[in-house]
Order: sequence, then C-alpha cells, then structure tokens
Amino acid sequence: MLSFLRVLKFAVQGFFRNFWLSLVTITMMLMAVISVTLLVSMNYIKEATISGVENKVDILVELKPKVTQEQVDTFVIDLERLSEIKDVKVITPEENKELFRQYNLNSKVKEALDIYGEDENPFSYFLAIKAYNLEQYPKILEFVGQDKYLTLVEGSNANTHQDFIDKINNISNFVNRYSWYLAGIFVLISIVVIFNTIRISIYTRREEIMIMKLVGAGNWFVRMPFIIESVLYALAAMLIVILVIYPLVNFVQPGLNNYFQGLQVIDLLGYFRKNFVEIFVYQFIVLAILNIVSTTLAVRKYLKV
Amino acid sequence: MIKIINLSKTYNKTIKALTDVNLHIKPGEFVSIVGQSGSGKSTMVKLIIAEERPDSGKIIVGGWDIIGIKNREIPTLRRQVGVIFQDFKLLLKKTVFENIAFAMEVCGFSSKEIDKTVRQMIALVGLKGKEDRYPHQLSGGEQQRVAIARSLVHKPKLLIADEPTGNLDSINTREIIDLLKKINSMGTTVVLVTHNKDVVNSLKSRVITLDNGQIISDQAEGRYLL
Repeated sequence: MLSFLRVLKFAVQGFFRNFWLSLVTITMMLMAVISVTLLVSMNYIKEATISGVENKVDILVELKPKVTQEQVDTFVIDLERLSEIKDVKVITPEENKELFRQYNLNSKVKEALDIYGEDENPFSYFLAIKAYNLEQYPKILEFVGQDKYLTLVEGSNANTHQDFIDKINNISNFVNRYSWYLAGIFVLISIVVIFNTIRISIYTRREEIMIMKLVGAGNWFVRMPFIIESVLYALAAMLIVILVIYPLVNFVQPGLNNYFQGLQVIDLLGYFRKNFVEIFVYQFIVLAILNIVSTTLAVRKYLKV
Repeated sequence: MIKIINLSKTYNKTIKALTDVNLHIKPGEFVSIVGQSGSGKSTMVKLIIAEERPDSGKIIVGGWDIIGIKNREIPTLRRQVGVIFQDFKLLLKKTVFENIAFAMEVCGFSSKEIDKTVRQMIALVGLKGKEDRYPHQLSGGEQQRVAIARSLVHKPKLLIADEPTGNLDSINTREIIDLLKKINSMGTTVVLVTHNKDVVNSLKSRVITLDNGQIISDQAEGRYLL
C-alpha cells in the first residue's frame, strides 16, 4: 500500500512538474478525442436527419368524390391491418377545404372556391399513409391499387414521390455503409496519434527512467508512475472535452434547429446527456487502456539498464 | 569486498575493453583505478553494477557472485553498492531531498525513517538548507554531493565513484575528494575511477593502473603512472 501511494505521488508529481510535456501530450489526445466525439455527433445528426426525412415522406391517396364515411372507415381498417403501415390519417372533405383555403390565403386560386356555395364542397376524402420505412411504400401502393378498391381510389401522389423516396433510400444506404469505413479510419488515426504521442513523451524522459534503474528501482516501481500519469492524461483530455462540448453544442443547437426547420428536431445536447456514459465514459476507458498499453511498451525499452 | 577473476569484455566482437583482469579489493580500502580514456575503467564499473554482462570471468561483490545474477536481482545489487557518476545522474524534476529519499523509497522504507536518514545525509555532505532546491539550482559540486548522499542512504559497504570530478573545477574537485575520504574513514570501501593525475597523486592510497583493458600496475601507495 505504501509503495502504491508513493507511485501515485510520483505520478502526480511527474504530471505537474513536467507541465509543458503534459500539456502537449494532453493536447494531442484532445485532438483524437474531439475527432471521435465529432464523428459520433455527425453520426447522430445523419441518423436524425434521415429519420426526419423518412418521417416526412408519406403517400396521399385521393378517394372518389361520392365515397361515404363508412366506406372510408372500412378502407382504413383494411389498410391498418398491413404490417407495413405506421399511420393512416383521414382528411375529410371539410378539412381539405379548410386546408386549401389556408394554404391559398393570398392567392387568386382561392377565388376558384367562390364558384361553390357554402354547402357545396368539391373536395373528397384523402388518406395520408405513413410507412415504417421507405422500402415499404411500393407494397402499400400495390395494396391500394387492387381491383377491389378501384371504386374507392381516385389516385395517389405515389409516382411523384417514388423517385424522391428512392433517392432518400439510396443516400441513406450509402451513408450507412461508408460511414463505418470513415469511422474506422478516424479511430485508427486516433490510435496511431495517441501511441506515438506517448512514445515521444517517454522518449523525452528516458534519462529519468535509466537513472531510477541505476539507483536500484525495480521495473514495477519505475513503470507504474508513468502508467498512472498516462491515465491522468486521458482523464484530463476527457474533462476538457466535456467542458468544451456542452457549451459548444448549446451554442450550435439553435442553428441546427433553424437549418433543419420543418424536419425532426436534432437535439444534440439531449443526445449527449442521454448517452453520456456511452460517449464519454467509454471513450475515457478506451483511451486509458490505449495509454496504458502504449506506456508499457514505450517504457520497456529503457528498463533494460 | 570485490574479487574480480579473469574478467573479460569485448564490444562488437572486435573492441576488447577488458582482458583477463584479476583484482582483489579488501573491505575498507580506498582504491583509485586510473587509466587513459578507453582503458576500460568505466567498463569495469558497468560490469560491477551489472549494467553490462562480461564475456567471461567472475565478479564477487561482498561474497555475492554477480555474474549469474538474474535481472530481478539487479535492483537489490544496486541498492547495496553506492555509485556516483561523472554526470551526477540526478532526477531533474525532484528536489535535493526527493532525490536522496528516492533511493530509500524504492526499498519501501517508512516516511519517518526516510526523513531522518535523508536529513542526516544532507548534513553529512554539507547541503543543509538546500533540501528544497532542484538540481538546476545547484552548482556542479553541490549536485555531486547530492549524488553522494543518495548513494550512501543504504549505508552500502562499497561506494564506486566513476569519474566523479570530471565535470568539476579544482575547488569542487578537492571538496568531493575530501568527502570521499571522509566516507572511507567511516568504514566504507571506496573505489575511485579517474584519470585525474593530481587527485590520484594527492591521495597516497592504492592505485591500480589500467591500459588497453589490462592491469599494468597495482601499487599500495601509488602514483599516476601514464
């Protein structure tokens, strides 16, 4: 226990007394940690954006003018039985008329409504159908296009949306596939940077290691302070990242909300809070392990005195 | 105290640093090992503290044959043999007190014992009042005193000084040599490795002369011959 406390004391002394070396080492680690954290953020933004776009895509099915409420209800029940359907919203003719009026408030198109009296409504029922994911829309369209519904369905906007849906699908698949490669490259670069940073740090203090050995210190007594110091570097880097990231995200969040207006809100701050352990604690553990391994390998060379 | 029997060491298969050296140093002696640069003096020191391994021969220190010493036993050997070097080899980020205390901390001594012994050593080498200074805040002579104090904390029976005055002026040289003589008078065997003619001649003690890796002279009250 006494030896461990002494080793801890040497580690803390070494950390502070080699201040500039510690600062440079922590800075290099900071770069690596920031890279990985940025990657995580970008991944979340990507997922949230794609999810938001997917959520906005739906199919509008126009029903024939004389369709009754009961027929609509039966049709909706049939649709909701499909496992691909996430949601079916019925837009009544009255709601349609009101929506038309609101969207065309200052437009001459609104005057077209004047042809009809208050009791008359040229609009019919619409169904806004949302699927769980984009690939399911073709099956839904196939269902809607069956002969038994010919008397109900006037048409849909599926054709105009299909290209858009296909493009979103392709982008999503592409990004998902290649983001892993990109992440892998980032992480590999970070590992190499950290490993070499530690090696250079130990190289700078090689004379110290050799003197300790000549004075009669055992390998464990020489190695442990450097290992503990390397964990302190990891801790310092993570604390700095946390102190910087939260205010930065807070600052950027409104801008992100504005940019993606109309889509799902990207709550980066909430994401970091919710996944604090996964993002920061696990990163610290991995960084600490990497530092320990790097230090052990780097110090070994100079213990052969 | 030290018995060296047929010791040989060659570097890179061609450079013969030591060739069949035989030597016996008794407890309590003050021995100067002299020779020009490249004569094998430092090699002998390195072999005694197991920093290098010989090609052949035996080295017995305090009854311990260190030729077959295992790597894990080397720290124990180095705690029993005090060594001081030409370049002092102090830990630059530790104070005078911490440098000396380190040699005891590696052995697991208690803080109380360390405090008592280190202060005694600091007083012995004449550095009282400078405990909290760092090596860069000391003169060359003072740094060497710290190194001497560090080497003595284990109360070793043997102290090896490898060119301890090589980086010092004549005044500091004199002070360090006087300190070594004082240490020797307290019962510690001192082996002084040097090529300083004046120092050797002033000591009037045993002088072993090395040349090209071999002992060419061993005189009880010797002088620098080369």
